[in-house]
Amino acid sequence: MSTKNYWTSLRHRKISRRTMLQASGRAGVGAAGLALVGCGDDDDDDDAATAATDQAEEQAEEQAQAQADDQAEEQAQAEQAVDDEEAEEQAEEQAEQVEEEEAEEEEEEEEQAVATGEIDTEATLRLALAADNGGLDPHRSGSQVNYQNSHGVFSRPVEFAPETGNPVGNLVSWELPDDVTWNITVKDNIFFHNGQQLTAEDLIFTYERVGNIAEYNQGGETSDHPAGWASARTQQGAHHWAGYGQTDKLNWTITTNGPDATISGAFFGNIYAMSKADTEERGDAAVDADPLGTGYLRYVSHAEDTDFVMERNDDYHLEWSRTPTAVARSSYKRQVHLVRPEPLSRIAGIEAGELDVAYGLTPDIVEPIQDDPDFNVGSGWAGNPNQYLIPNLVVDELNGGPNPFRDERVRKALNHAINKQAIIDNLMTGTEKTSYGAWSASAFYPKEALEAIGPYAYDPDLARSLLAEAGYPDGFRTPFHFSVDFIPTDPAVALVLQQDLGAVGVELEMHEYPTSEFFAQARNAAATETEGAGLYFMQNCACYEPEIMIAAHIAPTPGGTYALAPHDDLQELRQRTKSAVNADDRAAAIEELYVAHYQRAGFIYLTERSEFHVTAANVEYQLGAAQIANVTSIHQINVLKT
Amino acid sequence: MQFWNFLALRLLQAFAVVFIVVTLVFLVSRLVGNPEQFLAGPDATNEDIEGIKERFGLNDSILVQYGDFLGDLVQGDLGYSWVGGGVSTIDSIGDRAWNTFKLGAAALVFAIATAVPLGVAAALRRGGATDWLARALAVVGQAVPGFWLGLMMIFFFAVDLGWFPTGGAVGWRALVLPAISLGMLEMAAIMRLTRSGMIEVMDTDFIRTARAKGLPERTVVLRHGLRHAMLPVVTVLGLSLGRLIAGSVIIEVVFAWPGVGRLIIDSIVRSDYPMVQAAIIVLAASISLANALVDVSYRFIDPRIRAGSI
Repeated sequence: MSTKNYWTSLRHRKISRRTMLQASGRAGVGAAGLALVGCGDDDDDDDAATAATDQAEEQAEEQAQAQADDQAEEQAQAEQAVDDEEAEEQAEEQAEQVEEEEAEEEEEEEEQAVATGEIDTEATLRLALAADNGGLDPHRSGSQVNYQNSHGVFSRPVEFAPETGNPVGNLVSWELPDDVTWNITVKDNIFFHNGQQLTAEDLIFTYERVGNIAEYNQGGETSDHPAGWASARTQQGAHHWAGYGQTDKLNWTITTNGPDATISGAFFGNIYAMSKADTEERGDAAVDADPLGTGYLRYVSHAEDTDFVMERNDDYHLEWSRTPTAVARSSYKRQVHLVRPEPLSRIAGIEAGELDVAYGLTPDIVEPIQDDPDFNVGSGWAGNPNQYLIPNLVVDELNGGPNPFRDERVRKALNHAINKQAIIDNLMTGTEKTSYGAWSASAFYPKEALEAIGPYAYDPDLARSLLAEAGYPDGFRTPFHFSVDFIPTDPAVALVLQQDLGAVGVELEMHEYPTSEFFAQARNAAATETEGAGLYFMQNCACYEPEIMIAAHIAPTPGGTYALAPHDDLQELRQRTKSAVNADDRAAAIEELYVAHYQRAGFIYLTERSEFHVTAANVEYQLGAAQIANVTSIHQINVLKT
Repeated sequence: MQFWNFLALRLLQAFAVVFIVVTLVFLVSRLVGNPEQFLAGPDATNEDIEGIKERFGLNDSILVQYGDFLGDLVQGDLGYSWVGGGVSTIDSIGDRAWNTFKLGAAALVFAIATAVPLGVAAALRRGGATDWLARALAVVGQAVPGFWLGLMMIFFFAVDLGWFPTGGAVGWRALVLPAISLGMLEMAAIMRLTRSGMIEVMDTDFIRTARAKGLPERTVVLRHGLRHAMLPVVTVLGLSLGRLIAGSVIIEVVFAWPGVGRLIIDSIVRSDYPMVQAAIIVLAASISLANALVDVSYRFIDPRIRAGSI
């Protein structure tokens, strides 16, 4: 399916569609004027007739003169009015023209960047991949590797605006006739790589397949797999829907049980459009091995444990841009993921010219090449960026007395008792920041509002006085649950926390778990009143959709942090973040919730981690381009000609 | 002892080793980790987790699980991956086994081809520069960890000189650096054994007799000396197989070599029990079988063993 046509070829010659229409209009008016000028007879009257009519003519001339004067005056007035209107129109046209010229100049600059050879449009972008998770079905398992590989091949119905984090239609647009009805319209210029048009039926099929709904009964090994689809359904929250149905080829309607602002982000931002016809015809395993999507890359090949090869989809519905605000067409021709499990060999691969980009690198690895002109070193927010302590506020008692964490002063005291900068400097890389929540800067994040409040300063004296004020002058003892292997530094950080909190009288009983059991313990904490009490040392990954973050950390349900459980006002605020279907209202509610949560010390906030990427010197790595665990924007990377 | 009895006994021993390994792998893999949690993902409900436990029989007692596991095993069913899209574990292993075999064989060829001539030369010029160099190389080969050597070789031979790729398995050149990294330890061991064996043999009466008979030195060394010196080397080769396979786990990661070793590492990270179990069982069986074959080969190499002195 090619999008090249007459209009696009004109545009490439710097003649816009509007300019052509204007020129056509002017040409038409000019032709009509010429035709009118050409009409009329020659004068050949004789003298007699002239004499007989002289008087009459004089009279007529006088009358005509008078009429003409009147008409001229009227005409002048009319012309003046027309001139004013024309002047306005001209001004508008000029403004539009300037705007158009600016846009064209910008586009020209971008095209020149390609035309003059700065960006290599025939390049192969080679990225190092830590592991091969097998297939490319983006819904099959929870592995980030799958998403990383398949993201270019598939596209999400909704993307997220880089500035605001708000969901933006990519494959679909939507409107809400009321608070519980979502009319979703699939854009009419989206095509799968086999030329088949994306329809509402495909999106409904995708939803049913992801949700493991009985109507989709494909069978086979992949769909028997227990991991991916069930958990995906939970994450996307689609089980709250009251109903849904296709209304025509490109439209479907979802109704919810109540106002639900999260549908666009939590659901459409987390699924990848699949073809119903193709998946049913070939089966899940074949789709996993040889995927068909609507993304900006077409799948080419996969050699197990070795590489994934994809190439640019020249028919992608969004054209390449140097500073894209959405998932656009790639500038490079091919994208190859080469499996390189060892981080140092990724660097070696770049240096040897076998690779262009490597992710997931620690500071000790990139430090020796930080100033090397052969490399570009950058940092970004990591997949598991934030560390924080969650106090269980659901349980009523601790050590036979009231749960001390329900007192805001106690939580604030703990925040002041920990020397976070010392942890960053001595146990981490030194590049981390003090965090303001479970959510990271790479997700929806009211950065300015939170940073305006400032971090909880390290002040053990203040911590002691706050504890005394809350009725714990000698401190108290609390269980402390942590994972020993989620991040290598976890146990060391846990010991420092024990020491810092112990210094203000809060004694930690250390309960250590392997990662998988730790999350189970955290999930079931509310159900196990006595065993679940205490503090949880958590790490969190970034999700674009705020509701996923909020639900995972603030919701009063198992799996949440229980951090807001007794605070009804905050729970109400949280409901607003779910139900405010207007994007601006919702953003305001989220900001209010995040700020309130921070100010009331919902967590004991620790650090926000970063990780590094390295590219070859001829690779332009746009701000916001892909991170290892949240790969959405590899299209933003450009290979420059050398 | 008759050959067939010997063979049967040796295979029985190999089977016992594999059985013990199977049991240990089964138990250890269930003592650590929490696969249902991993499979369900961090956002799964308790219902999801219960469903997964039920599906994979993780709610059953360990004895029941073990019984089911052995039952499947004797039918040749090593199970299906829990995270790889449900692919057969034996298929996945089979896809990578050839790569691991290639790497191990290349490492062994490198080790033997380097160590034997070097060991012989060192023994014949005992105390000389060649001997000193060979011993130094042996110490380095045994002391330097394979993964470190691999990384150094990547930076020198692949990055600086550009002779070989930094990783992957495309083309014969991709095999050179991982094979040398993996084979270095074996090279050192074989070289030392060859040297000491040759020194010992070259002082024996039959070598003196051979020389007295006027045989050329080349024939004395290669046909009479080396043949006898190789007996302990053959023994070491049997053990080398195990070390090569164990070493390949790390070397395959360093060089991005798509073999069984990397499959094991990835599967451990993903708590993919069936894959880990199957891969270790296959490797244990391979090593046991190889050792049995080495033992059997003694009977052909050493006439004293063939005469029934086992």
